Amino acid sequence: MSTTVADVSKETKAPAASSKTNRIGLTMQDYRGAESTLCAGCGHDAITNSIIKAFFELGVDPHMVAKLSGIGCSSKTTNYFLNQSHGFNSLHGRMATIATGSSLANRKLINIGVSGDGDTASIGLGNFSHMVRRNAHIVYIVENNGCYGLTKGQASATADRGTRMKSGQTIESAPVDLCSLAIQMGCGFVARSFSGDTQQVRTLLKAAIAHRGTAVLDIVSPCVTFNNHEGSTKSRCTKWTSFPTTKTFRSSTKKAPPKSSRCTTVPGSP
Amino acid sequence: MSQAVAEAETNSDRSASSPSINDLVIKIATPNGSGSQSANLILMRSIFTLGVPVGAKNLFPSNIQGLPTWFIVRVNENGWLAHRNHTDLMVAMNPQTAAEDITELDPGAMLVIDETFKSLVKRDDLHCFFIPFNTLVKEACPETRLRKMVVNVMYVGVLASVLGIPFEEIGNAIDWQFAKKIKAAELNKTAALAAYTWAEEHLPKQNLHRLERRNLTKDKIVIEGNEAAALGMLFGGVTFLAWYPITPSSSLCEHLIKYLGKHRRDPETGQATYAVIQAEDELASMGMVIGAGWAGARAFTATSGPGISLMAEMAGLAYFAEIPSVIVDIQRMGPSTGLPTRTSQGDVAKAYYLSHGDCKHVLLLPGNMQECFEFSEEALHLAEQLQTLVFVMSDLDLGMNKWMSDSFTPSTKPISRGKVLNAEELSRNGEFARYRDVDGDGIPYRTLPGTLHPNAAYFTRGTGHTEIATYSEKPEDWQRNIDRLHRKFDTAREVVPQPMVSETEGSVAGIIAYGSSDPAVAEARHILETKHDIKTSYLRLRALPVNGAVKAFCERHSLVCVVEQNRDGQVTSILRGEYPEFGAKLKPALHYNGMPIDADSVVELVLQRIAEQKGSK
Repeated sequence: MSTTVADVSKETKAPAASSKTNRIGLTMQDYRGAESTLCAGCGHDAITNSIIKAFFELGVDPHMVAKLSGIGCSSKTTNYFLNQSHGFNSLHGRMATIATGSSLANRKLINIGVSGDGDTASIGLGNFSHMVRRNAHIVYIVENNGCYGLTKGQASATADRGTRMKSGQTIESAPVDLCSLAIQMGCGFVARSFSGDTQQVRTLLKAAIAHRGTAVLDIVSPCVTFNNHEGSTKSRCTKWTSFPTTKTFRSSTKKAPPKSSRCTTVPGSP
Repeated sequence: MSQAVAEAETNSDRSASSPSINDLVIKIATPNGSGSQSANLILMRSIFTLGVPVGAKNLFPSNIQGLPTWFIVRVNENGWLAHRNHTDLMVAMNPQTAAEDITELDPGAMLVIDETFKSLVKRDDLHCFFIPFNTLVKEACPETRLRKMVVNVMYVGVLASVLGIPFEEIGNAIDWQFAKKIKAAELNKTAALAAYTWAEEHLPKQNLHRLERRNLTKDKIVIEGNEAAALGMLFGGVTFLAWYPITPSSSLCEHLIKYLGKHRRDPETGQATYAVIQAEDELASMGMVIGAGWAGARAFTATSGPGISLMAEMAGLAYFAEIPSVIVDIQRMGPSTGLPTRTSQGDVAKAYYLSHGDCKHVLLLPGNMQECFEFSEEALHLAEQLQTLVFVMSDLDLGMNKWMSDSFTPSTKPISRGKVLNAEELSRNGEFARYRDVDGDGIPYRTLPGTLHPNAAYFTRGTGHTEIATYSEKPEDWQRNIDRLHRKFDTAREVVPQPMVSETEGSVAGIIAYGSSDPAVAEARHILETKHDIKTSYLRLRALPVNGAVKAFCERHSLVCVVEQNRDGQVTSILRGEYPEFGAKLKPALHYNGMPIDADSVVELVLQRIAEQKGSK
């Protein structure tokens, strides 16, 4: 993958209006939602547009879609696509459980869940894992930016080891890798992509919607406001030629913090 | 073989010449995991088929094998089957507790005990029956490994002889208990008969308590509240259950799973027409219930206090997002170590106000087996009618103990899904506003995902939303919405199960009680009237929020004792909040030691409250 974060901005514009109809006679407009209230240039908006296009191109009846989300910037986006689908902006970290219930109550629904890395990998990790284990019929998208947006930039559990948060905190602990976790839990459809690579995201989404069972899409989606600075592994400064891992990443800008402060820098520690 | 000793002096007020008939409490002490449960059920069944009203409480530890457990059988032909603290006949089969079990007996009580524990009996005011259980079980059961189990049915044989239960009833009860396990039934019958015969030959006839045949259990059933509730869910049209195991609620879910598997299969495909998930925790089980309720299922979960705590955030979501959902709370004592297997009414206030923000929930308060059955369906119905979370506040005493009951009559009223608009109605209405109070009762209309209409969809959020379900942080939108929710709560007051009121002319005090306290209160009122010449009136709450019936009752009485099984008088506080003008006359009468409430305790508490009131005048 060679797209850079800089490419994202041109994709965040809504798809051009067109009178073209799909196989069930709907236009792209019929798959749109409310106006996004996210920051200009947010990677999540690019994903929203990919979702709109994917459903349009597949010709899915929006009435048969349930949109589910937890709490966070990513979770707000279910309001920004598929206006004719029922949506549920539920509780922080608990979308996996709500979606599991919804998927079993009406087995004809296509359940699309949008979550973030704080929502899924931090507070909701247990529920996420069990949803995958049960193979509930859900397309589960994680818009992964390594930080909490709505509470202003705190680290999430997918923040890379060594990355420096906007507050100056350097992350000491290993990130949660949602894809390998999903694979370990027996997930039949796991993909990782990048919000800026809209064509790939759209292709993956269509495949995920067609998949019967849980499909996990971990989509790296930069936060232009709180995770876009020197020292961040998810900033515009990063060339996304390969995804940083705990093995290959070395912080080039900062020394390790003094020992005394270490315990306080571990996200999620009591 | 030892000679039975039954000639002890007694201080009992019972005349030696006329035994009390069909009125006693039998307490059986065994180590748990020893297989005594089957024997205890056989004993209970034999009394039931004798036609005599009987109920039983199982006092068990949070343990699988080895810790003490007691099975308390109350037999009473007048139908008083609440817990009673006095034991008339102790069967002390557990060496670990035998000394203590003997000490707690009142003078004149009967004791059945293995002859090898004879040295433990240091009292001479008991009627003791020393039984050579070891010798008897060796003769009756050749297989050594089975003797530990089989010995239990032998005390049943002894009791049949001592109390005058025809052995035929024991034999039938054994067949019933072991059903298709013919070999086990035969072995147990042989052993029970051996013990019965030995007792007939060797034990002197006692003249304290006898059981005699009656015809008082015809058309009655014996059931546990959790099974009754599971049946209620089945008949109530439940389609979704998510649960996490927790004593004392697990058996409700397990019973329901059994019934669903049997009765809810598509006749053509054989596929299940329901879904059950054992969730990873209570956060998840409630989340799933909300997701399922939102998508159109009749969904519920069952749990106990600690589970309710984990569901607190979800409860607020169900309230504000107005999603039909039901939690059955089988209340018990608090955190997980210590008394998780003891009963309590300690979750009422918590459930009533559960979650953040301005939350108030509808609580149904079943007080007997029929209500455990009926309120399951009622809760599913009200949850959909009111579009909110509804609690059913059962408890361990109702849920896990054995109660005699009239048989159940399923409701004939058609299942109603409440205000759900389908595509046709949406076309007719032209407009759909999810949170608009169209009818003035605070209850809006909803649509389900999958409704094929351009107006059907709406976006569900926890808090800030307008009438048309768009995002809003405007103060007026917020306040209008929570005022409507309050209006809906007022609607609930009139549609929940109404209190049962029994007014007595010349009553000195009013009693308000709820849930499993009912049988003890009913018996206490009888005792108060017959022994103390004190008449009382009684209002049994069957749901919260309350309405005018409770107010009128409080108005009529100068003293209202609120009987509760918790320390702080939780319902008393709720009633004082509803009716501050009655604050002074609403007096809590509280029982909270983990044991089921008994009539003597209620009598004592009510007498205290009456004395206090007289003293203050």
